[in-house]
Amino acid sequence: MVVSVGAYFLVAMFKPEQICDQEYLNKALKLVNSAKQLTTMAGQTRPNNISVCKVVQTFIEEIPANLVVSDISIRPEQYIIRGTTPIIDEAYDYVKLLDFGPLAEKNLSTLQNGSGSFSWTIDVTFKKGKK
Amino acid sequence: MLESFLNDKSKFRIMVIFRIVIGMIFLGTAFYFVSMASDTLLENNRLASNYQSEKNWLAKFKPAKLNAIIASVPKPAKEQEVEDVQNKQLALLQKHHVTILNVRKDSVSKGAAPKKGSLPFVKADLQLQSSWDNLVAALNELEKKNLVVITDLQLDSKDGESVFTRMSYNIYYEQGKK
Repeated sequence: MVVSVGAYFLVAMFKPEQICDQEYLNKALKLVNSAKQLTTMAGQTRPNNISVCKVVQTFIEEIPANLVVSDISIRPEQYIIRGTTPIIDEAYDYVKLLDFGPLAEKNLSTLQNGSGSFSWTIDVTFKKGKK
Repeated sequence: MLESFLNDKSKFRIMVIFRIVIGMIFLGTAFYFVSMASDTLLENNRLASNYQSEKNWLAKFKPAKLNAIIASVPKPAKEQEVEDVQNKQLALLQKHHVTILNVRKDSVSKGAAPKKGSLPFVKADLQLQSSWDNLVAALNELEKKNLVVITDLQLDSKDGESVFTRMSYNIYYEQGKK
């Protein structure tokens, strides 16, 4: 019994101590928490977590020279872009370039106009899950 | 032998029983302290490992980087500043030569009641006319200064040059913070 009591007190005596500046650690943790809180709050305010500006940028950056955009509609659940082109293949190439993440389902529909140009519509919807 | 021990009325029997009881108490106490020592040892190891990882984390911690992130995240306006933020948003559009055709903006009192745990906001619906470049430049700045989130955007361009825009955005604010 003496040995076990001695062992216990020996172990209890040598409690490890903090090896870094506790005050600095607390400040750092506080900073990390406020950053997390802010980013979470900013994220929660976006419907379906989309940034309309980024979506517009994606649509515009990838657009080929011969594609004319007539309208864009961006709603949290669906993006639609319409336009015309004399070269239909460019619309097919364009839809391949649009990257809205793995859950995006892109659908291109085309229609030949009387003048020989094509009207095209790209419809982007999302499978259920986080974008 | 057990029977004669049980029938024994001398002090010897009492002493034997007493020693057995004391021995059991000692044995129990020894087990108790061994178990306590083992638990404390585990706790000490856990603490030492935590302290070491905290030290390692702190060595890699870059407050400047985090402060830059915090500064770059748009923050909700104070309740009394909402009107001012709304005006600044409109001024920003005008700065980029975007013509404002129509504005419908909520005031703080008319704003949608926030869901529990979420920030309150006021909504604005705008109709605009501009060139593509000016509109994109304005959109890029619109969400940067305050916690403003564009929720709906419709762009129409009949001639490929000028764009007619219908846009809705929410301006988030902190309730009661003045």
